[in-house]
Amino acid sequence: MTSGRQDEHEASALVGTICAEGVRRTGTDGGGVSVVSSQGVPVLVHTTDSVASDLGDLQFTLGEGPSVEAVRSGTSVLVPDLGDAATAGRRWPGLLPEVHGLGVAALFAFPLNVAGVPLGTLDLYRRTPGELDAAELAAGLSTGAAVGNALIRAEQNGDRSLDYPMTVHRAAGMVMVQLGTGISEALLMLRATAFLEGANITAIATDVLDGNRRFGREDA
Amino acid sequence: MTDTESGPHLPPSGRDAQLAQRFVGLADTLVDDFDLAELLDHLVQTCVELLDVATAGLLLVGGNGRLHPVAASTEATRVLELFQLQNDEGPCLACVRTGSVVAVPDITATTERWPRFSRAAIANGFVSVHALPMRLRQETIGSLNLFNTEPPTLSEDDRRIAQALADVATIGILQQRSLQRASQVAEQLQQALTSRILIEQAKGMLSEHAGIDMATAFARLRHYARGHHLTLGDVSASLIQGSLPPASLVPPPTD
Repeated sequence: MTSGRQDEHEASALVGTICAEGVRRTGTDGGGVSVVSSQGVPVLVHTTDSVASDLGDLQFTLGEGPSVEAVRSGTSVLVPDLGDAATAGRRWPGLLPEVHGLGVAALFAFPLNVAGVPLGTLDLYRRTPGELDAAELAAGLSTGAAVGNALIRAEQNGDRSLDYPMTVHRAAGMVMVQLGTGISEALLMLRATAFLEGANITAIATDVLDGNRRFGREDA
Repeated sequence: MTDTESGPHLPPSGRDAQLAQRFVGLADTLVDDFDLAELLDHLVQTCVELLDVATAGLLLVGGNGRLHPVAASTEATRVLELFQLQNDEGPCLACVRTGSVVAVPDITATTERWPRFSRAAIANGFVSVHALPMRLRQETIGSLNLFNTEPPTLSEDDRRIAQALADVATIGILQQRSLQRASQVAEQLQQALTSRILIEQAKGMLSEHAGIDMATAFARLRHYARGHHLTLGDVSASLIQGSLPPASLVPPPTD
């Protein structure tokens, strides 16, 4: 039990350390942590690099992918070869060309299960295809559990060090006014635009916030 | 966990085999659908059936810090009352306070220390009582009471076995409580995130609608929420869902 004032960056530093260790022990190249809201909306709270960020945004844009499935099922979704059209290609047709562009060949999504609640996912990627061996799989599962526990402790301690990026949601609020629609349509518009332009959704949202991009009623 | 063998290299006696089975049964109640009542009932029944114990009862410390009888090997009302009154005095209370065994081989010797308890115990025909702590490290969550109606009282072997049973039950209870807390916090976290998303969406909406920056939009949200005794989340939800027109928040009312 800790006493006295805590380091104000404790939770974010801890999650970062756990993830870095998880990447190392699974032989992957990087990863990210997403927390899912009570309405099933994923928010990327930590990534080890920009590829992991792009992967997170990509699955948000498409609304499909291993991470999305991992949360829904509460079990790990392991994709050792994203280039395998027969399996991965059939499951997530929209995902494959995009992850190719990111140089990602394998993706492993572990749910953050806390006392039976699927809190989110730990998503680890590799640039080369190949399965996780038994030790790596165990490391992935235990890292997911450790991240889940760290998030719960952070919530219990009132730790506000974790950054829950809200750029896309803020932009969606603006876009709903620009389009004259509801929030769902606005989010869909942002996602569709990102998909069609092959762009990162956070980047598009940032343009909207900066006033460099507007959507008009003609886009609705 | 204490060793329950009666000696080295001896074939398991009938009782040992039964005890081993009871431990397995106890552990079994800890997995899958955890049923606290079943666990505790199993514990007290094992004590009276396989140990030299006439009556067993279990009290747990409740949220208010008071002791509550939660399981007993008998339905006899007078005995149950005996457990009940231990909230104010008696070996159970002493056991929970100290976290240690309170052994009373002769209840008649405690009439000064625990007048009501000893009177009720003797009236029930009990000559001795042992209160064993339900404890894990520094946390004592209750006490297992073992009563006898005639000497000998509780043997060392029986006490160790009963303590082992109590220890298993304690771990199960604490694990279950920890899981419940964790799942509550997890849901809380997810609800908070939903709220946060709504608030940010509302900021964006208000900002674009009124041509104000995000900080000002947030201030307007907060001002409205306070003025109407609503949470930020509720105001944001109403704005986003369209039940609250943004014009209500902009410009701010003159106070």
